[in-house]
Amino acid sequence: MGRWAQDTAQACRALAPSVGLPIADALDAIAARAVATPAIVVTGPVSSGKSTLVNALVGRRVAPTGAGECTRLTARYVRGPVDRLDVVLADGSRRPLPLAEGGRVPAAVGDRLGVDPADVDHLLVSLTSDALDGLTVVDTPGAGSARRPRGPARGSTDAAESALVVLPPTARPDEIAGFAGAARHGPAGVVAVLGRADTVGSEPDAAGVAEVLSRRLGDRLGPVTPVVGLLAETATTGALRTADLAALRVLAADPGVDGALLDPELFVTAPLSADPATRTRLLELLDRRGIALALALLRERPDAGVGDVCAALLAASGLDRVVERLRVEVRGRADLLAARAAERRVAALADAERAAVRAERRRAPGREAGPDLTRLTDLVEDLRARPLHLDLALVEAATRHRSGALALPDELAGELDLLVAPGPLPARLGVPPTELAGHAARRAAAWRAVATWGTPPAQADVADAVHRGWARVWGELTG
Amino acid sequence: MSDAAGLPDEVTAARRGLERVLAEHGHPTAGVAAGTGKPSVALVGAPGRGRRALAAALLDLPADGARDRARLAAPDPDVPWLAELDLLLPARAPDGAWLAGTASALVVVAGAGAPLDRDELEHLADAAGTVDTVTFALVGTEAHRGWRTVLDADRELVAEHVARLGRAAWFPVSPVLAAAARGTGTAGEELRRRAGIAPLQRHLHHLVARRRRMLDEANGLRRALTAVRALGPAHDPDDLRARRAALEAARAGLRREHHVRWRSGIAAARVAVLDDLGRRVRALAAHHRDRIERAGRSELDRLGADLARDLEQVADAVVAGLGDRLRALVVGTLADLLSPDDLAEVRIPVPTPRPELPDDGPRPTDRMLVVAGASSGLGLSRLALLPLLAVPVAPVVGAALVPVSVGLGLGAAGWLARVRRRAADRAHARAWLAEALGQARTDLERVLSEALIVAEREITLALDRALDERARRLDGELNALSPGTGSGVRAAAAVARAETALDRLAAARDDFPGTAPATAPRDLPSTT
Repeated sequence: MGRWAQDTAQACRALAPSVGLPIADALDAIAARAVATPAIVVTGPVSSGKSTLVNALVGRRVAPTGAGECTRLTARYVRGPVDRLDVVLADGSRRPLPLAEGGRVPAAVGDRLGVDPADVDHLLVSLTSDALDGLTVVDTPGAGSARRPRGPARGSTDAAESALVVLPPTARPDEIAGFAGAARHGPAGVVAVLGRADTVGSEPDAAGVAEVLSRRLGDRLGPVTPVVGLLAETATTGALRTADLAALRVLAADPGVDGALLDPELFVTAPLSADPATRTRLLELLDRRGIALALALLRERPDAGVGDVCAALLAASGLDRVVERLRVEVRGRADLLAARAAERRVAALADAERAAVRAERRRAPGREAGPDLTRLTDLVEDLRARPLHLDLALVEAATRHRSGALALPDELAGELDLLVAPGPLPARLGVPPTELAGHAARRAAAWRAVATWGTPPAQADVADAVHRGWARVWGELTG
Repeated sequence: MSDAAGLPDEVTAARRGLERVLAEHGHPTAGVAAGTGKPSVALVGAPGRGRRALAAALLDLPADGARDRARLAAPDPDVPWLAELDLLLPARAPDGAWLAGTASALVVVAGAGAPLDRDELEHLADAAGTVDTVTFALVGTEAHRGWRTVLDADRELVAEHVARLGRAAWFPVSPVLAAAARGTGTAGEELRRRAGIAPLQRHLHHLVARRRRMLDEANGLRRALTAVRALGPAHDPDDLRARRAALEAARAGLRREHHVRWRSGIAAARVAVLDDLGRRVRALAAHHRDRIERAGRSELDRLGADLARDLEQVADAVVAGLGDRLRALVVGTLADLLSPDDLAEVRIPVPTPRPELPDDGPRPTDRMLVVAGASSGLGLSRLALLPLLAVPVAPVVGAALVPVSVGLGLGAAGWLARVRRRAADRAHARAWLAEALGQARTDLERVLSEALIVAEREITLALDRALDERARRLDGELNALSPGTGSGVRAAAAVARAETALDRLAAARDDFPGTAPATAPRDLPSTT
């Protein structure tokens, strides 16, 4: 576990004995969560492809998927020794429930247990999937659903340190407020994807849509990566069988198939060589884009096997880009993100306490506020004064810049990338270690000048962060 | 047909009833928008749903044929179904609301990828309050296999949010397929069928063409009905209580807000007027010190009288400035509470004179005394208020200044004479000047402060009176809200009547002679 998360946990634990009991327990819980396995919340509007992407990421068809609103409950997917499903009720108690056929989470959980669905807080799914090593995945119901009250669904409030935001092509900035957890707190620790890139046209079309989304939402969510969730799910879960491949091979030889692929129902009803039931199954597994890809591959290489097709589908799905982003931007920054989330939780605790004190004072005027609030506020201030915020500011600026939402001069963008990139600085910089301190001092002075003189505010903020970054390098070298 | 015979009269009567209720509540009545020319259908929907692509497909234009246009007419011989109507692509309101404008009917464009979200349903409910006839197009069936599930969910959601649209027609369409089929002749027939544009065109034709008057009537009635509903259900006690609470909060807030504004205004006036006084006295001191340095003996003799005259001018100017300031302040504070006529009537009652100045009795001759005074029996502090009292507050024209006299006390003259006897020392004159001015300034400051205190008291009272008046008006409104009034009953009756009329209009619209029942698109179960 990283240094800043440890630091946060220690600060919380140190304060716990000197404050009132409920707050002390809350602080202990915050400390425990800061050093626990980090979680990523998968969030986005209804039917944007969240659960499909979760299945692809864990490599199992476990979350229910389909058209319409499928996910009605928040589900936490954790690494465990056996596959197992527990239903966590609102009062905190757990009820075990067998997984449905094929290892899926069953529908209508409440009915099966004989409890009111409104009493279910979330589902806890243990899986033996390696993908969950060191990163818990939290799948949430779609935001903006007319079926639920506004705001994040229950069980998903601040449930994670980072967020995977799955967007439809029409996403708008005002929707972000309804997303769950970390997605509302700035672009660091947020990986945004266009979840069903195959529904917006060809691959270049999807890239164009993703770019527009990046610029529109980048300020809050960072760059948007297009991904075809269904292809990733089919390829990683091994759903494609030899029989399916045989049907595809038959279809590849049929000249009418390309025209029929314009519309899914046309594909099922058109007079083609494979039988309609198989074609329906192919549509469910691959949809039109996947079928077209598989057909193209089979026409080029008639001897290709299931593995080859899956590899091609996986490559076309763009899942590897998402996994890579998760590795660098979420797993690689787990320490920063855990510390920031813990800080946010302490601040929320302080806010709640402040509200309680205020309510108390309104009831009984003249009563002095207890020392708890002062101690909590001090803790928040101490946590916020730590230099990790410089790292966060640099990361956020770099993310905004990459999304296209924040235009920066080339020089500033270059310096920003230099400071954000991992690894030892001298090697990246190409400056002899002996001259690094002087270089850093000069750069710090130069960027301070840029930040203070007439630069537009958004750029001045970035220049100031870069200035502080160099000043820190200089400070570390000169002691 | 016979069923629809009495319908126009019924609709007119229902609309009159609603308009009477609106007039009772002081709302203007929009009446029926007298549409001219062809009826129009507005395409509305959330951003990015593809309204323009659908419009292009409906009119058989190229895929980007609807770009940058707000009103589209069908190219006549090519699209006979839509020849008699225009398509509107109204801009959305800044908050995302769908503006139907003068459209005769609406086509709501929903996405096939996901059920309607909460914002869309809210905007739909708003738009359906101004336009009676609504049809739905589910766009993107070629990309989303599960559109049937989404369609079912959408129907259910619409029925929950806008009950009367629960049975509205839905048309799954694919502008993409329509664009692909464009110009392919008979070869693209299958694609064209799958695109589902033709049933929607047919439906719009039956619904809208040659029906402008009827639709306009229905829309006018619908708008009036929405306006009456927005007045609030007059007989719902919960709603009544909520409105009463809001009015009471407005009343408390009114007082607090005006008092805060007035207090800060008078504090600013205090600072400004004292600053003005200090500046003028300092200028006077510099001037006279300069004179003493250059003056001969005879001129020094005149020092006392000159200083008295100058001080009088300063006092006049400062008092006039304060008067102006207070007037502006009163006008600014009361202007939005009172009508201009009432404002002109506002007077601060003339204070009763009381002896305030020290008697002109004998004083120790060695004590400096600058006495600011006037002869009318009013103290200077009262005089300071006179400009305010003497003229109506509202027309702030020509500040009628009451002459203010500042006299140097008798003691001062004697002291000055004694000084002169002692060799008319310049140094002594300078000392006297400094002391006299200091004293005069303190005195004037006291006078101004007292004037401000009195003004604050009097104007606060006036303000309270005005606020009480406003509060009484709010109370009147509150009383008007009491349940069971005749107007509430009349409103309910008018609403019921309008609803019946709209139901009959809708029925007439759907069974108009010569109109085929709304065609079931594709393999859907009946959509009517």
